[in-house]
Amino acid sequence: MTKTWIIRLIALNFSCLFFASIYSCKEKTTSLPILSYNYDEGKKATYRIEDFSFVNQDSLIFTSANTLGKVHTFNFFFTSCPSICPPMRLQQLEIAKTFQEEPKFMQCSISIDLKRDSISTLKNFADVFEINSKNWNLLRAKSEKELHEMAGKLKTNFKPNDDYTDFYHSSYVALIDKEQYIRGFYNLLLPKDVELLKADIFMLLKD
Amino acid sequence: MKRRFKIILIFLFVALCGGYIYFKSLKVRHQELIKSKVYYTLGLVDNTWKKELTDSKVTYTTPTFVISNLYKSMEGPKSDEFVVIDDSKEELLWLTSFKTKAVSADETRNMSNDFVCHTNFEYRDAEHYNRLGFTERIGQHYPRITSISNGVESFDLPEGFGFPVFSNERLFLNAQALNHNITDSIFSIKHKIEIGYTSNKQQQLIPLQPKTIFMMFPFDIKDPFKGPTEAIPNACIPVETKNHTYYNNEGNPLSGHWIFTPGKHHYAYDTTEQLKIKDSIRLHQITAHLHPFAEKFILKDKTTNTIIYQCNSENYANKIGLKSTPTFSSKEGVWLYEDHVYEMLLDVNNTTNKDQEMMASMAIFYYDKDMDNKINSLKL
Repeated sequence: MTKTWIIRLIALNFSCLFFASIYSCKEKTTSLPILSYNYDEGKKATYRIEDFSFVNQDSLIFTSANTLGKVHTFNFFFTSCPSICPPMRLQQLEIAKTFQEEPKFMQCSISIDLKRDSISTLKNFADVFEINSKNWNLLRAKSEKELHEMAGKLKTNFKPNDDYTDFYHSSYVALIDKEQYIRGFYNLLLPKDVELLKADIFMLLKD
Repeated sequence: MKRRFKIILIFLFVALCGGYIYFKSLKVRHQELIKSKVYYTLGLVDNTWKKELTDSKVTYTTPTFVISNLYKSMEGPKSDEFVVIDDSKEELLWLTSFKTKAVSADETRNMSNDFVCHTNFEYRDAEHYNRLGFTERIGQHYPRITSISNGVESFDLPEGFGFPVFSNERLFLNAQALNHNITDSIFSIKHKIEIGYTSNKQQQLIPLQPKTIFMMFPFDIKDPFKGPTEAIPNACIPVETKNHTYYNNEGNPLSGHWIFTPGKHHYAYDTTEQLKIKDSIRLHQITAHLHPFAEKFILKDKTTNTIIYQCNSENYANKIGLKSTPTFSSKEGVWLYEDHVYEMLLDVNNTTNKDQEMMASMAIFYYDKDMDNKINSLKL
């Protein structure tokens, strides 16, 4: 009788520790404000991330019709990026894994290297890193104008160096809700921001 | 059944012994991370952050910190939290004061601030600057508003000045406990962190831009704990080579957290590059972050040979700890110029017979003209 109870107590302790660990990993969040807005003469004007048209790694047209009704992220990258893209990609692969069973979530990464990142390059890149267009679209714009318009909407910027061999771009992703409003910005190079992003995705998925 | 039970017990015993040996081999700061995780996940102590809000201040109370060891800087129990001041509305606020105090775990008694290592107050730069239409500023500065540390329990920005944030903007707090002296008891504390603010509707204040400048010294990456050599005569002995290690333009490592031996030492560091002044800035506030045994910390305009700020810190006579590190505050401000050279000078006196650890930084605030123009143009 005593032995049984000792075993039960040990099992209970481990169970408590396990469930408490899972619970404690979740960041507490409050409601998220809409951050896609501009001020005009003291008046706040919100806007949606829409009216864009890109092509994804599967050579399919990708527009705001694909993101409507889905929680999604947008960021800029380029496949030959030697600096911040590889660690960002590791985090994005982890996010893709976390939400792989969630049909209402996707990541969108737009290449800023129009010269080298053809659709076939994006396809090869997706194949190498097992990026599935079901939940992560690698996108190509048709012109720099489109890229800069999208950067303006996403409240970020990028800049090629003089010989176009490298680009400055941000390590942030914008989190966008099902209604296509920006609800947060997260630095993928900071582990705490990545945890916060995951918690916020969970929260927006429940909305 | 009996045999299986014995095997389980032996397995548990071996696992516990192995875990204990591994745990004891860790550095104090890592041991504390594990201990806190166990306390919080098992609910043995309060593991939640709490908030109290009034019209002029917000107070955050940390989870419980169990003090069960001696902790030098960066070693004690700690907790981080993303916070918002008031998400029931969206309005521009001006942060004007910062305070941290240690209290008992039941929050009924004030405790000595000897148990406060630091509180870091940070904004999240993408959200912060995008809200204000300042996208180009993202990534330009480390997004720290300021830091409170042992010896500086609180400070107010000069009257009429503030740091702008939105009421529903996410901020980040990091609090860590300290214990230089108590070895004969185990007890629990919390930190109460107060941020004073004014609503922009009540009064539009003058914006200040925060920045942290800090001393750091080179070390040999191949033999980091060797100290000064012929090749690196001003080398320091870093406390460790992971955290607080920075790289200069030549790619050489420098440490902002170093070890110093018993006795008096003098350090000098050219901070011109860190200040990165474009044309000029008007400095209004400085809060020093120092460790025990620091005696004098100076910011000097080397070009004009003028002392801008001299912090004569006071150490306790009968125990290890900083009693006070006076801040600099000025409504008129002091001008700093792009073509001047600025230097930080530090005098320390290690009165013990053991090596000690030092950090020396200044959290500065200067007038933010571009933000002033931006807020005026937005007509918030």
